Amino acid sequence: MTSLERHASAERQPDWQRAFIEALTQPDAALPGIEAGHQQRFDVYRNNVWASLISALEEAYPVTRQVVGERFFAALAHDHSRQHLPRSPLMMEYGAGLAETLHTTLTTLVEARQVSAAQLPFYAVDLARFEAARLVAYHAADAEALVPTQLAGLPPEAVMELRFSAHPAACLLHLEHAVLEIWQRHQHADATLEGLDIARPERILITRPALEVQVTVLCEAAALLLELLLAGQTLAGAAARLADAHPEQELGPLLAPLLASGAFRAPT
Amino acid sequence: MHQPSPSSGSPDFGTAYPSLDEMAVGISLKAQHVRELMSSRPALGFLEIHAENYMGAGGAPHARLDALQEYPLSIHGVGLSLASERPLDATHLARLKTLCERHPPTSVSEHLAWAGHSGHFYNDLLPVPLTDAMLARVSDNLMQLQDTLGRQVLIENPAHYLRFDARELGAELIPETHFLTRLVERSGCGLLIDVNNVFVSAHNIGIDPAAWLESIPGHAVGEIHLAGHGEDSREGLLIDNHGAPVCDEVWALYADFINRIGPRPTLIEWDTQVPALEVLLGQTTRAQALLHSTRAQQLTRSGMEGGQ
Amino acid sequence: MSTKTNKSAKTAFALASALGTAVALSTAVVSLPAHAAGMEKCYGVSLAGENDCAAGPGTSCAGTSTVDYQGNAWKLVPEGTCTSIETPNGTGSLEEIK
Repeated sequence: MTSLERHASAERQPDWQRAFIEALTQPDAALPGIEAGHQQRFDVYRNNVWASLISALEEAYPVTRQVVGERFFAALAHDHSRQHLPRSPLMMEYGAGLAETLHTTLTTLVEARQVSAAQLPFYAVDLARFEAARLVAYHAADAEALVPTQLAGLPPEAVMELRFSAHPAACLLHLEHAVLEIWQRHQHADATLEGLDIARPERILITRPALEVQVTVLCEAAALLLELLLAGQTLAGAAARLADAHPEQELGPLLAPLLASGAFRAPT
Repeated sequence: MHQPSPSSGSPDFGTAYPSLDEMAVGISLKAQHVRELMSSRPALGFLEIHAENYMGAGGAPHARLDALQEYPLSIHGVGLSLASERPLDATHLARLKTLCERHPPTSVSEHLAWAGHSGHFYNDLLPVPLTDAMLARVSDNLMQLQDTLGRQVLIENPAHYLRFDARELGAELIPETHFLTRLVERSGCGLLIDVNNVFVSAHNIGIDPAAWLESIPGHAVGEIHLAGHGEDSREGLLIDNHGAPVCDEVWALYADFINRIGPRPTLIEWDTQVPALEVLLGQTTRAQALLHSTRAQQLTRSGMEGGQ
Repeated sequence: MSTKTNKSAKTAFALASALGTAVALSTAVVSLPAHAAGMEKCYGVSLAGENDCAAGPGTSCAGTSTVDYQGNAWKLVPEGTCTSIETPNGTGSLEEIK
């Protein structure tokens, strides 16, 4: 083989892999280079690729799937995987944007089929955001969480200047529905949402101080306090802003759940 | 200990890194078995993980490996895409290196396959026409991988579902066993022979599984995989689904193979419809028994030779 | 001592006292099951599948048999528990949507 031929043959390969990828997405496309009688067998790869992506999404969003139903979820996951292929071999990171795909799908359903939005489970969009955030926290970097008693006995001047840094697993979600309760009720097979006001906005703090993902519902004032502290404000600064926004609230009880949940990193 | 030896003239990574005991029998580590493994601590030669499942920053997966670190660890990559025409993904290579530093493995392996293209990952081991150009490609990628990790890497034969048409591809196709042999010579890699994949491929593309195994250079084999498969009713294909017990034909091929090349670290691979730990341990007992009888025969043979 | 210093000293003490309350409450909270200090807590939460699937491709080197997958979710209607929800806006049987 001359070097020119070798070059030509090496160049042919990437084209073939591109053709392979294109054939994955087109059910009837023939792939060049496969024995004539074996074209149908290419379905094995089509199936492996799409089925494995769908199954990765099913496992990442068990409760969302339960809520919208298996058939609808499979179709949703199929649509999502076609639009958003994995960007890395880390399947634990795959499907982060499923909530947005679900939102678009439900919106399309309302427009295309004249279904009233109230009849569709838009709360499942928040549920998907919640499940995605838990998965991120589950795999987040390990770090020691601040132990509340580490703050006991600080001199008042030091308390004024106290600053907190976020634990790597901590995440605050602002949701429009009572997602935690919905999620909890679906931990059982015969879930019902009877008697639940699902349209109750919820602020959920997700933390993982050790190995277990923890979930804490925060009131509006506690969520604001957390955001101020994580934005680098001193405790004094955050307290002042909080007093403006929620004069009726006391700082201590608002700070307590933030400290208890492991939202902050231990001082190094 | 058996360390697959590279042929003369190829890179030698020496003995600075550990390798699995040739009598070791292991299982794939599944989260649902972790508690039982920790409490009962069964006698297992090693645990094998999919590298990509442990590339998260922290949390339970890593804690799991720390808690089970008394078992030798085999890191089995599924996402490096060694047979891609594009250069290796430097980010992913670095992740693999980080994982090997965090949980030092006794064995590292990857596949003769590709899974990524143009920044997308397809989550499957995709097939590759075995040409001269591809040999050079995979060999270069393997050498880069081995240089990065500072150790030999084993490469696994995938399951095949279709035959390529050389004329249409416009390139000569190299038989898989020749390809693997030349890969060993060029890159100094070792081989991970999946006997179930040989059986499945033999059925699907019409080759003789015994002859295939016969032409694998024994010295290069550093690990063996045993798994179960399923059947596709539409095309009459066998599917490598890692979701069933090892079938009798595969046990027989395995017994003949180790009889020829000697005992090798062996994995019972079960990834879908994962059964109770007990079931996996039953399969490891069977593999262990075959390794022992192989060793006994070897000793008898060498005893007879010594006595003559 | 100027008025300003006085005021800020007072704030510092108030803040230190609030922090003390927070520390005391937060350590107490850990032993309470739920609804303490206006928070709800879920212990014992483990990810559905601390398994390879949630963490990655449990099946990436294993095939599955050939199945045809249907897409176009918007052509379907979500089913499941949404049929039993009661919202302020009312609900309906989603199965009836055609």
